[in-house]
Amino acid sequence: MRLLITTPTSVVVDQRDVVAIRAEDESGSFGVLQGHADFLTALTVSVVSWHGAAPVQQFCAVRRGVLSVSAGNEVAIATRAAIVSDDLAQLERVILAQFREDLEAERTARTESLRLQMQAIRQIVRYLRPERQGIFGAG
Amino acid sequence: MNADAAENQSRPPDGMAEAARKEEDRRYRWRTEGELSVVRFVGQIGILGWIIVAPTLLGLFVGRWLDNTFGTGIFWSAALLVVGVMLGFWSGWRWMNRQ
Repeated sequence: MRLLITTPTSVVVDQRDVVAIRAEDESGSFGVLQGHADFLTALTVSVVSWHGAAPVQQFCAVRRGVLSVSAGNEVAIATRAAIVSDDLAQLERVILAQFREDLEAERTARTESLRLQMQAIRQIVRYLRPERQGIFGAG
Repeated sequence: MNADAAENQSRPPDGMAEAARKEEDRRYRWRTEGELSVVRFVGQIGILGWIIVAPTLLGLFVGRWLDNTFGTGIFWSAALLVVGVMLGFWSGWRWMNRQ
């Protein structure tokens, strides 16, 4: 069975030998095995877990999303954000670290764009100053 | 701004971290406690049954004795039976919540 977890910007998981998947929607937790009927549901903010041929559980925290099962052997999850970990005990910490990193990046981007704007305005003001020679004035 | 608010601000607002922790708690409980065994399940039914039945019977017997003593028909039996049932269900309810 193929499991595909995607966010708007990247493919987070694309695994082909998946045996069982667990996910959670409004009505609670459910499992998907090979040969499941076609199925479409909206996930909550929750943890999706699955394992391949080896019984090693893997986990992915998702920020809502849409899960679809097609042809009984492909499960696709489209979500806003997905964070993968093979250790559930670490997952919370990974999520928090990721969140703080994103927050920091956003703040930096905001101050940078603000500075860019200020510089552009300053440039325009300098350009439009009356004592400066106009573009059409030739000296 | 105090430390608590700062801590809250640096957590995802939609509870993604909480979801991860909840999932971990569930799995931990499954590993440590597992499913209730059948014997214990049957035992619980028995205990709950007795908790409800015992006060009812007690009320009925005391009521019968009072009725016999004072010759009041079924007045005390009925009243104490109802009291016993109420007491039984109440303590059963409390016991279930405690489990």
